[in-house]
Amino acid sequence: MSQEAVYCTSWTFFGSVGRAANQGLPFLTIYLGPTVMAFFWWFVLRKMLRICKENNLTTMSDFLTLRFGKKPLVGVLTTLGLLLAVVPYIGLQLKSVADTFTILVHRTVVSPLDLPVFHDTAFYVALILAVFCILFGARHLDPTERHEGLVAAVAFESLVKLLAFLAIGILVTYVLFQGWGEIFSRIRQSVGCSELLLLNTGPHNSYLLVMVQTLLAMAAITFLPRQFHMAVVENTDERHLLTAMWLLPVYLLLINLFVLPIAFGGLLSGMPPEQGDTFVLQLPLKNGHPWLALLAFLGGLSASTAMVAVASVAVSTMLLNSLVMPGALRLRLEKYLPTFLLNIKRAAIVLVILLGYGSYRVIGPSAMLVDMGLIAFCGVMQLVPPILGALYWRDATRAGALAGLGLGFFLWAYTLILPYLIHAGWFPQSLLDQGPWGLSFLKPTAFLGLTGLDDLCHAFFWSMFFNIGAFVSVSLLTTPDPEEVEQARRFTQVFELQAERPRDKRFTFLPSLEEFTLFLEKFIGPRKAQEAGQTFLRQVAVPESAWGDHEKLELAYFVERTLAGSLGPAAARFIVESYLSGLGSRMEDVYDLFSKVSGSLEESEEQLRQRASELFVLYEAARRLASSLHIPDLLEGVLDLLGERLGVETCAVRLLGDDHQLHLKGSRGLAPETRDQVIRPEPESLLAECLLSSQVISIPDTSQVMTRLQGLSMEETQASLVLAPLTTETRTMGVLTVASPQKGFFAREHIGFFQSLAGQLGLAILSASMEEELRLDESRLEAVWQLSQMTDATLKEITDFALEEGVRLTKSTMGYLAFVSEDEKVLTMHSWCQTASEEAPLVLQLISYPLENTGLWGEAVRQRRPVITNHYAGPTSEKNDFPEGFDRVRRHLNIPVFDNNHLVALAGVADKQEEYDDKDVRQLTQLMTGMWWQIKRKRTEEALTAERKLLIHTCMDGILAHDMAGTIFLFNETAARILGYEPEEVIGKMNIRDLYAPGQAQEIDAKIHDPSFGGEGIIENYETWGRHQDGTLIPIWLSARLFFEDDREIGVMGHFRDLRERKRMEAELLRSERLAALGNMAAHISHEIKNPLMLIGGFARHVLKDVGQDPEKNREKLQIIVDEVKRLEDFLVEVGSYAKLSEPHLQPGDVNTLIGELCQRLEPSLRDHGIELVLDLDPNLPTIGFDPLHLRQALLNFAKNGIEAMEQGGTLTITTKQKPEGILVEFIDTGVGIPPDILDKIFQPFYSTKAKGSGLGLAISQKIIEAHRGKITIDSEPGQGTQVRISLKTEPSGS
Amino acid sequence: MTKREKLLILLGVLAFVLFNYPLLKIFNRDLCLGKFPLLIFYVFGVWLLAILILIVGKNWLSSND
Repeated sequence: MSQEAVYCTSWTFFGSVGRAANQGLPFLTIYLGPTVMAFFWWFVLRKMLRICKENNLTTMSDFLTLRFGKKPLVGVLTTLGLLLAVVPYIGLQLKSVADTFTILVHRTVVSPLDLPVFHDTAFYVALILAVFCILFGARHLDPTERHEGLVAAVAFESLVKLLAFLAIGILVTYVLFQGWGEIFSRIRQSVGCSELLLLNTGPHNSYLLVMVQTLLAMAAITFLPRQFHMAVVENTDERHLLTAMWLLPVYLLLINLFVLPIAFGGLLSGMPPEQGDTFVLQLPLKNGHPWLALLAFLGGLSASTAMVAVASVAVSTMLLNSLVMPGALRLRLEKYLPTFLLNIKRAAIVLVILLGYGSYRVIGPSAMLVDMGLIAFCGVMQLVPPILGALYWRDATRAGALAGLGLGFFLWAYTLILPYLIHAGWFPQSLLDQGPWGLSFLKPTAFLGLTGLDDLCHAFFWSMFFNIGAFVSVSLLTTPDPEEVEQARRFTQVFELQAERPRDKRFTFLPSLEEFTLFLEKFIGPRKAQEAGQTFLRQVAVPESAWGDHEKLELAYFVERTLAGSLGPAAARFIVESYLSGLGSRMEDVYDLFSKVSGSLEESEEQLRQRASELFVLYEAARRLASSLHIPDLLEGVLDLLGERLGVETCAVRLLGDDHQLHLKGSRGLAPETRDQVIRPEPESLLAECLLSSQVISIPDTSQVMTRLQGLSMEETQASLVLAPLTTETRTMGVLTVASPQKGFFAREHIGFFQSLAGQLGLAILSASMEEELRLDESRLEAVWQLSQMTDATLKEITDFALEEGVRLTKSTMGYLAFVSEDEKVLTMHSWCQTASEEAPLVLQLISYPLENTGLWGEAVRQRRPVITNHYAGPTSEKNDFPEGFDRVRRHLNIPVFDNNHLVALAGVADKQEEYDDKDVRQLTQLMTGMWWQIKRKRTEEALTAERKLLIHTCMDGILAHDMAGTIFLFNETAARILGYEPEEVIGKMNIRDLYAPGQAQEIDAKIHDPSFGGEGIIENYETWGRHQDGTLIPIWLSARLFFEDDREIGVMGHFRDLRERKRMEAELLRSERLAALGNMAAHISHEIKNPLMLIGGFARHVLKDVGQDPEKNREKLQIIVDEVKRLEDFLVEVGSYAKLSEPHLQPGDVNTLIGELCQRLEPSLRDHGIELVLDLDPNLPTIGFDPLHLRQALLNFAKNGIEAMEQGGTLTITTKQKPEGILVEFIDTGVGIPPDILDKIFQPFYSTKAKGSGLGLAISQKIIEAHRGKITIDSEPGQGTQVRISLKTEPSGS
Repeated sequence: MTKREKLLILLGVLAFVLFNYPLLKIFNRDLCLGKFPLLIFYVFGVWLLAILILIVGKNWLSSND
């Protein structure tokens, strides 16, 4: 709380009474101005406060120096101007102290100027004050350190002052007079004093003066060095302003309650207005209150002391920072500075106070205290335009500020100070009367002929006119340098930016914090330097190891700021810069990644533009990444972009393989031997960290991390290095490294860009690899499909094709395929493929290799798993029996091919551009497995076909097949042999019609569709004729079957048997059978004829011998001859009828009728043999077609046989029955029966059991019944009888 | 900047105007209210008012934070 009180109280003590006594009311403006200004403090002063705190600024000159580009000139000008303004003011304080002391001692005003310096009280006052100031204000160098002692002293002073003033005020108002009312009434009535209560009665109290004084007071209360010091340097909290803003007006109001009474009281007491400054002392003295006078003296003394102390400290700091430091630096004396700095500052304090004393001696006689105060105010006023410009106007430039300040200070000095100096006799009076060189328009008090104003208004107008005019116009006409632009931005937007550092600047290389601390120690001492270091670490909240460009820039700024607190911004900047350049670091613009952005743009526009530029570069990257799905192309595109856009010469991309190793996939600026580098990053290495953390790592100087560079190449580790992970959402796929041989080359913008780029690249690689996989899968599936279509291809063609596809899919240049023997001990090279060989293709030899001799390539068989060899450089013995050509290349992929856990083949590819990985293994394995199944199918098919062919060709039957057009497509050798062709002549060339007898093909076609020949679509054992090549017809037995596909007939396949041999055998058999039958018959006939002939012959010879003998006896013999002849005749008739049995003449008739006739004829025989005849005839017997003569004979035979079988009598039963398909006639006798052994012979001709039977009866009967398509069955049981069944069809013709 | 802050600045400008010509001219008369000149009343009255406004304004500003 004390600060703001102090701020309030170092205001005038004596001067206001003096001015009131002279001027009247206008003196109040000195107090009203601060009250008006209080409304604006929160906005103006707080902004200044914020800027000063952030930049460690301690003086007004530093403030302006920093704002206008850190060049010393603005500070020099400000310091000189303020010195000119403040030094007389300090002198004024000395004067007041000396005067009041003199009054107190001598009770009268004595001019000290007549005394020598050593007798001058003021001189000793000055010395005492100087000691006081050094003790309280310059114990340490750092002016930012608050001076608690100083503040306490000033606080105490303010209280003393207030109490003293109030006490004297009460004394005057209520003791010497009867209150305010009386004083005012009396002053109105006193001669010449009434106008003191009015305004605008003369130049000394004009409205203009009121306004000018108000403005001056407003400026002074804020910008006077001591006020600035109290408000800014000694202020710990912005919120103190809130208190000051009401407390100061209250304090001023309270004091001013008594200013007018004291002034008027003095005047009424008869004291001259010229001594108004001393009324406060004189009134109590003259009225017998010396103790009050003493109090007043103490009040005045304390006010002066405080003012001088604060002002001298502030101005000496200004001197030090703005004049001494830049001067020393210019003279290359900076190395001596740290030692002498504090003493220089103390000397400066003494100097300022002595200068004040000097000025008092010089101009004191001519000026009044209040005049000197207002002169100082007017000087301070010159700072107002640049300060307001600094705070609110971005276009304000250093040139403008210099012009404004220069002209303002000059005119202020010329029009306001010079007249006093002239009055003091330092310059000729003619200057004032005629103007310099007699130029009247240059007269200091009537500049350019302007008259009618009092000096203050005149000076105020002209100085501000030129100051503001020059400041604004020159600012508008000049262009600020980037430093100024940056500072303008930071000053005007101090609340918005919140200590943000520019992002377009960076240090190429920066010492560590420790080095900086050592550096700081030289200037501000070890303790403060350590503290500063700790403060900075707290501020950035990032450990030093993780600092980026931003933190380093912050550190540099911080160091500069810390020094600026002690040395001023210009010197601090110079010292830090020279220190850094001595170390080889320099400030540079951040690499112009996203094009230069003009400082004149608004921030939002600037950001927009930067964003747009950034997007453009990233768009370029995205475009390149989208232009290809081939990973090597993607990498090349990005590496090119880095080179073209960023000028990066050394960069590399490493991708993480499935084997968890980093494979170098593309690079720029790396040694050729690093190509194809594969490394397993160690856990401590930067590469591993980058992969694991998925964060960009930036190393400004690789020499700091020598132990962590594993896996990185020489070129990458020269100085600065950035590692950016190629990330997708879920995983890190690799690392992009970018390197530069220059320390700290990469800025934050680079890093952000690399991160973006690496992210994009990661995504692109992911999608490309997915696409690639998809494409490969598609390609492989197509290859497998093509394989499956190669039904007619040979094994060699299949393997060659598969191998070629395998080489293509894995992007290899060569490949081989070897089959593995059953016992997995021998490899037989089968196929070889070489796509990009300059040499003549190898002549493949089917060489077999014992497995134990094979080198590396046998590993896949031995280990029974795919073997990838990407960096083959082992001993050549490892390459034993390597396929030729394979031994020269470094990358191989060998895979075993399995068939149900049985290793059947070994496939290998080699010499891929990139490294083999699991993808290749999968592609090749699946392709080769596909191929193997194709081979297997092919083999099975071939075996089956061979078997079938063997079967077909070795079959005893002829086999043929033809399509529905009759074209033959199957014709075996047997068929060819039977028909006299060669199979080749027939298959595909001949029609089936040419192979059958004419017309037979149609016949067969009809038969095959007829169900009655073995079924629908089938013909079985059909006897037909084939046509031999020589045209002869060959009997064949044909079985054939239609082939269907989707219920559509597509062909016929059949087999046939040559019947020629069989026919021949049959014919032979028939002939011999016939011969046998003929012989048999001849013997039988001769036997049958021989017996009657012998009887006839015998009896004829008897008759011949006995002719005439007994005619009766001859007659008997002749009768026998006749009978025998008759028998012969009957026999011959039977033989003839058997032989000549003609085709029956069928005519419809009733079988029952026929049987009736038959019975009539049998009547005598039946009776003779005593046989009973039973007829059981079906009356509904249908009419059938038969030959009555033939059928009667056949039936008679059966009946006779039955009768003859019953020599002893019996029953003969004849039945007829209706059957579904015809009729049945039965002859059942009860005779002797037929023994089973002769049952099958009884139908043979000439076989007879009867003594006198011809043996032809049953044979003829059978022949007749067969001619009627009837059927005879005989059942017989010897001794029981015989049953003969004759079945006749209703339609004997059949069809 | 809030509306109250802007209002405070306006009041500051008003204070400056009130302490200056031509408003000052209205009260710049040789008149007394009781024993005090009118101008003294006016100036100190406005001063007191300004202080009261500043106290209120201070509370506005501090309540903003």
